[in-house]
Amino acid sequence: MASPRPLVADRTYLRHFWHPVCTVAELDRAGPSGTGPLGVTLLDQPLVIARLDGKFVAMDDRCAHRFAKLSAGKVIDGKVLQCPYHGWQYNDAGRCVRMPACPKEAIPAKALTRAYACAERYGIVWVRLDSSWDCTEIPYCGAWDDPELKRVIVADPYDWGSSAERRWENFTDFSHFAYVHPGTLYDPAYAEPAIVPTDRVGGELRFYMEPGKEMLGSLPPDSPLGSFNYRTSMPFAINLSIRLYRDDSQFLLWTASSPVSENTCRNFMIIAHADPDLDDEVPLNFQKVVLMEDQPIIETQPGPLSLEEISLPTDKISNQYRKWHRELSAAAVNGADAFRAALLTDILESA
Amino acid sequence: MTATVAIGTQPVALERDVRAASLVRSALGDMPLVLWRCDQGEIHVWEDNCPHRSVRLSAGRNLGDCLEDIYHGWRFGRDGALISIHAAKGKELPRISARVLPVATGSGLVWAGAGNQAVPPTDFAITAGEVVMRPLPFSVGAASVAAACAGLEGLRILVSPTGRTSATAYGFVRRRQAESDADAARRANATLSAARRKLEAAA
Amino acid sequence: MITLFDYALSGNCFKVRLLLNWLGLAHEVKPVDFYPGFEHRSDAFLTINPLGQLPVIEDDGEIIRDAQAILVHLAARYDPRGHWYPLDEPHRLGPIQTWLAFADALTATISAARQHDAMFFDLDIASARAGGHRLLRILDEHLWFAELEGHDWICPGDRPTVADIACFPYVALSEEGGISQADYPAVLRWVDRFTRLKGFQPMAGMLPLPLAGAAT
Repeated sequence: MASPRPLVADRTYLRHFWHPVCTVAELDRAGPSGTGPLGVTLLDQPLVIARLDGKFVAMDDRCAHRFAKLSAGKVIDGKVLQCPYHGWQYNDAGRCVRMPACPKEAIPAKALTRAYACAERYGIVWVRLDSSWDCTEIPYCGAWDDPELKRVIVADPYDWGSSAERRWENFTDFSHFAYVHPGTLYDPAYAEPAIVPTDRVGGELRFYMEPGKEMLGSLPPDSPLGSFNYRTSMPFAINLSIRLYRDDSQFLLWTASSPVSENTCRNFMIIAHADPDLDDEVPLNFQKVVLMEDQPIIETQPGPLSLEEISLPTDKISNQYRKWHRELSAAAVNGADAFRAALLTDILESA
Repeated sequence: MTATVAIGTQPVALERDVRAASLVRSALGDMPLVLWRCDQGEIHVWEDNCPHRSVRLSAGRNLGDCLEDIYHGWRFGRDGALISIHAAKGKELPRISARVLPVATGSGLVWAGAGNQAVPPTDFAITAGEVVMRPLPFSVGAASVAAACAGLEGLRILVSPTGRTSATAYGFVRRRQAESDADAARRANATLSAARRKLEAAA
Repeated sequence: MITLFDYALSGNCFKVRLLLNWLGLAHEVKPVDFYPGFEHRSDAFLTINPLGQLPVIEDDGEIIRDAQAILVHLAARYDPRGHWYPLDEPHRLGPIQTWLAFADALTATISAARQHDAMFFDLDIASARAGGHRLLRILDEHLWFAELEGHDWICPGDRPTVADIACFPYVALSEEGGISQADYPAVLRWVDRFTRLKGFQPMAGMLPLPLAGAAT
């Protein structure tokens, strides 16, 4: 059997985007006083994350001296990251500032580990591996913008043996709701999703849908049924804002997948809602059930999206998403301007 | 006695191992397969891939008259054609089919072919006094398996490639006097397992 | 009252939850954040189990650790019919213990591979997977000949025993550790039978239930 042709042959364009790598809470747990270090992997590249002088830093997880993993070392005085092997110490720019075995010698110019653009937002640490074109933003999350949203939960990330593209498509796939999540997210009696307009606005794919209100009676009370407003920042984030049918309140489900490798993704989730008294376990447990229904199925798919897969009109969101990825991958080959145009040219269907 | 590599049409399962209401996984070369027995008793062999979003069909369900994909509930009838889509009930369906392979049964084995028809080799049929062995998977290529199994006493073996470096040995064992079928199958399995250990250790 | 120190994604905890539910035993669940919190390495938990392993139960003030030991404890103490662990039939106990030890080997290989893939544990993944395949081959051979003799379960008898519960989770979850089940048809049939047992509910990472009835 010939292997299926991948949707995009070249994935280097993904290095120009900001990707989440860990939560601040994880970093807090990884070392005393919340400084890390913590080893993560992004696009097959091992990185070490730490907080030095209060600043979040991401560097190649490799000491320049004998290639030991810096993530196995420790942060000294909250200022420098120390290698576990010979104690070389690195500052927030990835430069070695001390070699304990020969403290008086000049530090070689090559004694550095590469540092990448790194920032904290939404309680999550973000990394951009290639900032040379500097035309991407950290994905949109509306959890703190809306005064109606009184409680915000930044969940622990979860890992899937699947690609970030597959995870994104699964999350936005209307036509599997009724089939994989009957009685959880959707009443199987209403299996036919509407085919809705999609817009490209400022690097986001946006769409809106209203599932039937009649389903309300047959779903569990935790099920967030309402009008679904999607703002999805390319390439892997989704801000789903829901006006709940049951009490007209706001509910926000946000997710961003981190492309660990072609076949693995790390998924971040933020839930925000209007009830300040609700136990966090309630919405978290509901999402766990949904994830449990999806994960083993998605993991039977090969990681990369394939050109050979058959698409139907009901797959419109997935089709539009795939089209944009192909355009971005192709444009990146032609440089910064082409990439910026492919990402930031608005295309409106809904107007 | 003999061991050869199956070419064109090859065994993919034992007939008795393909049961109603369940699905069996196998492979024809590097093509993964799903096998299912429909409520009319026939065995169907398809590529283990849903043409929609590449989910393994073997993760789905055997509903007796069709096989259902587990992600979007696409249903494929006995002939492999798409017969219903959960998200588009009552609408006209696109002409889509699972990839169906030609099948034959005989000598207790299920055979599948990559071409237009499945024709089991005439010189590999069970004879009186022989018992079907338990198929044994190897993690080395089919040619090496056949070479290593050629001299095993009382066994006739046909090796199905299941990948570049994997293969499954099917075969028959001649029953000894006063030996039960199960005992003969156990003895053959032990002989073949020993050969496998030796071969895989060398590889 | 029984207290279970539990982690939702652990196959070893799952097997204890299965038996607790099948025996209809009221119990309290205390979640331990195994990943990413590594709470099992905390001082508080190491006081409960110095091995830092889950699951652990506390029953009548007594701490019992090790998944297989817990299964035997619960079945011996709370299953008067002796279905799960037939104390009245000593000749069956040796074989059952053999497969309980086998379940430990599954933890050392398949569970380790799964921790590598799903929780980024640093370990020798090739050797964990090879070990998993070696065990699945042994189990497949065992079950194929058991079927030939008319037995559905790991140890001969009309009903499954703690041996089946002990071996089930990591076999069913093997693909999460990159260990394909395609070569083990008898294992897959046994998994199918097990998931059709009345009252079975899968854990995260296992495929949804096949349709009820029509067990093979």
